[in-house]
Amino acid sequence: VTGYGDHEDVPSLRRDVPADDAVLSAAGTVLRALVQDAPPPPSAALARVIAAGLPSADGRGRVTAWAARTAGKVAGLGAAAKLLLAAGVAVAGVGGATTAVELSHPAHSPSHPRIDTPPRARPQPTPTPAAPAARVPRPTTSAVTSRQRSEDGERHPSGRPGTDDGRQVDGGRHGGDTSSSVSGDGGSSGDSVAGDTSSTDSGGSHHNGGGSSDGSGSGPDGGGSGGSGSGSERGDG
Amino acid sequence: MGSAGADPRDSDLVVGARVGQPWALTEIWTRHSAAVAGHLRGRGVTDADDVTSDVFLAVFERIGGFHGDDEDLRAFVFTVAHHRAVDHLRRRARRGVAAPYDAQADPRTTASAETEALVRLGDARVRELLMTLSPDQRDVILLRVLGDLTLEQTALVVGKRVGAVKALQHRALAALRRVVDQAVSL
Repeated sequence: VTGYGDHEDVPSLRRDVPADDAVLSAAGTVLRALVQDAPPPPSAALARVIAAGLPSADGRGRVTAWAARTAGKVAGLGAAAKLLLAAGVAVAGVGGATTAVELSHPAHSPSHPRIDTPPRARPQPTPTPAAPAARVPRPTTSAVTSRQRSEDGERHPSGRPGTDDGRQVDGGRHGGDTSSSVSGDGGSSGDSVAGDTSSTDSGGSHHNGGGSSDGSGSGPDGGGSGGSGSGSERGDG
Repeated sequence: MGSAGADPRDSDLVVGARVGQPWALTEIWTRHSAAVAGHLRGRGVTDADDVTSDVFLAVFERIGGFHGDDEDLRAFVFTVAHHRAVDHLRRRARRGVAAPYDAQADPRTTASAETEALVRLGDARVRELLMTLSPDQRDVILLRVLGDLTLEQTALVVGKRVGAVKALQHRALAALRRVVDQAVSL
């Protein structure tokens, strides 16, 4: 297949290609006589557009314009720069989650008054229909409002001294996904040993707390820390 | 044939134009309008200045959804210009209106013998020279020369494959070469 392969007599043209460049250059010199040095006068409608900008720009506002410029700059970055930027964002997120854990942890300290409430019962075997009395302890928890129940859910991961025991409960009942198992690791120590993994899973546990307490959590980190804060205030009151 | 290196502000230019910044629209007009007008004149558009304004109005209306750099923007502008020229020529064919072309003298010349021969043809004959080409050949030559588009960009504008554009360019240049040879022999 030749470079000109889509025409039947194109293969015979290949030997003329070098000459084409010279003629194209010469033709370009002549044809550029059609191009005036100055831009032509714009029409009235175009002059208005050029002078005032597009109407959509006014409606979108500066923030959108800034966002578009930023997006354009990011789009202009190379793949390595984008990866670096993404890594920076991820590290910042992890750092934010760690900070949230550090700030919210004292509210769940053993000295907190709500720590005296009895811990939630361990998972019970599924009662058989022949033994309905096995569910008798449940009414104590059913008397608790849903809000309190969620607060309990907040307290579990770090409220008990040995959260390693309770992490399975948390993971099972509060929708603690895979992060719940890691949550126990971070919450069990509850000290400065908490590393990246503890921060991420703590963010997950906070997310549960924030979502259940006020439901206004916009993100796992922010909602988690906000939810835990409000929960502690209610507990004090 | 390709355009020169990209201006460092090209990315800002496209982004600014997408959000309708006046400075960006002005810059686009300043950069490309003369070439578009020349392209339209070469295509035989009589009121090339007015159609050029229409072209840029259409470009600015659609630039919000445009993605690319300045090279792509140039191809985009000439794509719109190409379609506008086609529409204009169709309308004119229906109306049967014609007007003489008034070309200006080109002070830029080179020492090339072929160029000298072509220049001797007279600027008034440039359009006549172009009219010796088929419409497709003319489109390709004008887009390649005045639009400064690559073969690939030209293929996109005219809706043909790159190989077909190469063939059209070759035939157009062969026809121009014949005219040059005749001019040299005179």
